[in-house]
Amino acid sequence: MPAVFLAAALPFVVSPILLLFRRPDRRAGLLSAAACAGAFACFVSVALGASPATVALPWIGPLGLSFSLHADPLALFFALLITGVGFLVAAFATSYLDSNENFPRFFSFLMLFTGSMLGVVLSSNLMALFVFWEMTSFSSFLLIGFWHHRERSRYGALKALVVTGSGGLAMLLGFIMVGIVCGSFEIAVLAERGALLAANPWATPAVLLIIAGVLTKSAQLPFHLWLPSAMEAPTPVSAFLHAATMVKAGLFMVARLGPLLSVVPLWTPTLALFGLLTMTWCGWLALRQKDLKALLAFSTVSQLGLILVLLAPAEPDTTAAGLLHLLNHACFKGALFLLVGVLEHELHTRDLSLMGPLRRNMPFTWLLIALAALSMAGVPPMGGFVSKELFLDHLLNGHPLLALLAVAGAVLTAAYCFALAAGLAAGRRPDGPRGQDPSLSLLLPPALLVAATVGLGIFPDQLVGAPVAAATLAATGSSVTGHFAVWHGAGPSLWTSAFAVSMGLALWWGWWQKRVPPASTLIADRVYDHALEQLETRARRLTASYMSGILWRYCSVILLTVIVGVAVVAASQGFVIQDGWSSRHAGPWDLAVCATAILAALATLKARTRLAAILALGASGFSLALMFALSAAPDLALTQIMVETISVPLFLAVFAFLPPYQVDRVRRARPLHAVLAVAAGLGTALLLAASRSQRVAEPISSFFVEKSVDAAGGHNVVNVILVDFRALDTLGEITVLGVAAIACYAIIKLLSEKEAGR
Amino acid sequence: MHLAVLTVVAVFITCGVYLLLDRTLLRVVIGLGLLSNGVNLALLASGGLGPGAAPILGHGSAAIVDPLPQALILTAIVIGFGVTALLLTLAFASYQSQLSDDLEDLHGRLDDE
Repeated sequence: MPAVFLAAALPFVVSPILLLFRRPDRRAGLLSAAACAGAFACFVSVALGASPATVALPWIGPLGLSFSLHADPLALFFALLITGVGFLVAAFATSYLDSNENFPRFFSFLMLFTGSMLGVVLSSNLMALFVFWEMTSFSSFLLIGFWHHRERSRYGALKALVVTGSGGLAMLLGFIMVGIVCGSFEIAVLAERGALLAANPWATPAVLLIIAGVLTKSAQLPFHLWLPSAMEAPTPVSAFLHAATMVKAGLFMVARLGPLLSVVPLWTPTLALFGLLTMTWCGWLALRQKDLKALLAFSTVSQLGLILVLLAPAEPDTTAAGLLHLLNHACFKGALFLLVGVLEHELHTRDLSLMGPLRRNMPFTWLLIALAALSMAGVPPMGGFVSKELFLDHLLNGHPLLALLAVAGAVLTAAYCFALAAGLAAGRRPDGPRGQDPSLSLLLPPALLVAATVGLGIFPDQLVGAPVAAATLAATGSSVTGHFAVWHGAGPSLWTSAFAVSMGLALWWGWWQKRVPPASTLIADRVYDHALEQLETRARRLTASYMSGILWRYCSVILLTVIVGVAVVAASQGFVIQDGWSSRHAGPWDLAVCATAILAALATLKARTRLAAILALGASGFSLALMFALSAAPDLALTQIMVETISVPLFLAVFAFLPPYQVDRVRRARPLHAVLAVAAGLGTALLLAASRSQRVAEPISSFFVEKSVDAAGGHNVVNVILVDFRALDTLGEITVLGVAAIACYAIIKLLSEKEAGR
Repeated sequence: MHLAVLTVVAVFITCGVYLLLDRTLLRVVIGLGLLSNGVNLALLASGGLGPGAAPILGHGSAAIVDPLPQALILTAIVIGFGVTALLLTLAFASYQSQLSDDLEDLHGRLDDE
């Protein structure tokens, strides 16, 4: 079995197994970590060329869909990131979660997510990719709502699902358009058909729909609202899904499809603009947060905007920078989330304004936070500095207005990073809650991530130069020209960087501590809440308008639909009633029986007493039996007589318990009913008359007649059909009758027991 | 013969539908019974109304009528009986617990609860 398949399937295999563990069993976490490590090792073997990178399985053949995994360098880059961070987070969560938490459920969901995320990056078919994409939204929903007894958790989970789910559906529509225009859903095939897409007028709506999917998944403006609410999830989940991996699915999509979709002129500028606006605006929002997780959430949104700007042009140099920053961000933001988790674990608060002097109480924790924050701020020699340099370099060569936005974003980023690191160092409250550095098992995972981001600053090219270059080549089709270095020479980007960092410092030092307005409700949140509420009330009203609970209304609607539908079809197809149908001549007996039947039916309408109505119904049934007998259908006649003989007493039995019979209850809608009834009756008769002249094929009955004696050994063809040729149908019929009998018995039994209990 | 049968079908279905739309529970059940009678007859007519002998082989070489609609109707009669029985039981039960056989009245009451 190829290593790629093994690695992608491993989390899905482990996920249900985990549910078998007992509730407080921490070994569930160790198994998850082991699964991540195993998958990581598999991907390494693929990356080293020791194992084939492609697996193809047939999926839905007639639709031209195959389920295939293709681990090109771009996919491997992401897969290694996912499994690597996944391993650290699983190890962290194992000792982080309280011992009374439901470990099996947590890790099962986590593995479900890991598998889905691997599916997203490895799928080489758009439809398969979409399925995994939605599964990440779904598992994110489960994980955000993990503490489902909390109202805020449920709210955040639902919001995340609504926003990313609807974005996913928009994206599906875009995929389908692209697939139809280009004639394939295989990403490798699509990559060569950009020209087809560029020439098609459907390309623009398709691209806009896919952009909607990207923006919702990566929480970009105006869909940034779900990520802060998603912070109700346990902290390891925030670190893994909402900082390091899932929110980067949108960015992955940009990297993966960028070369194809950037043939549409709208693609790059739209994404870049949204990315820049998000970066700056959410940087500002992050600065205003007091809750550490909210601060990190907005900062994540802001940083994702930055990466989006870099990936949008689908050019090798910017893509490489984007991928490097993506890796950096996963390291420093993952670490920050885990460390905030540690703070919450030790101090039982995550409010920045309630913190005591951390540098004294928890020196190691604080040091790690400070290093990660400095990397995020873009201070040399951290990893964040290298990629932010490249970002500024890219933007300074562009439109001055965009450059200004970028610099503003960088300044705000630096400011909130200082607010975070320095604010925690001294602490606002000398008497704040005290804690101690936690055990090594909680500090080691974030420490490794921080070490990675420091390493990425000092040796960027040696550490990840080759994989990023390979991923860039796979994504854009061309090679990177430069290479990563911490020292680029004193160019405009260095001055800008220095300016941004010092301005950020100034902003924090001189202004933030007193005058920054506190966080308020997001406008997007208010819009979302209002829209959801409106949707609920209107849907309820709409449903109530046709689900009246009154039987005749339902029946009228159904009848009207059928009558109008049949009439429209009949009118458009041409309604022909031809003479010459085969029918024997009606004798006096026939006419007498028909007349009786008609009279009996009319009598049911007019009957003044219940007894008369029941007897009239019985009369119609018996005349029907006679008509069967006269029409060469003896079996039917016998059955009908039997059924009528049982039915009439049954009616009469119930009759004894019912109130006086009401024929003339006030009915305003009576004329409408009469019209509907006549239309139904007349329509059926006309349809029947026309059907005789509309035969398009020979009746299949001749088969039954021919085979009856030979194959089934019976002479009565009707019987043979029922008990032999269509025996299964008859079995179904008997079952229905049996179920009805049991239901009748149960209802009556229940009633009599109730009576007895009274 | 055909015209006569078609008339019967039309009358059965008209009366059946009219009763089905009524407020009184028993009239609805009766309407359903009439409706199923009408549909059964329509099925028979759709297969042709002779001339021909009953579809029982081995009685000479006379042409027989189409057996397939008869098989269908046989099933329909039996199912129709099951439906009627269940409906009657429900009517009985609902009257026992709600003391009304007026559907609109019952509806209003369920809303109040």
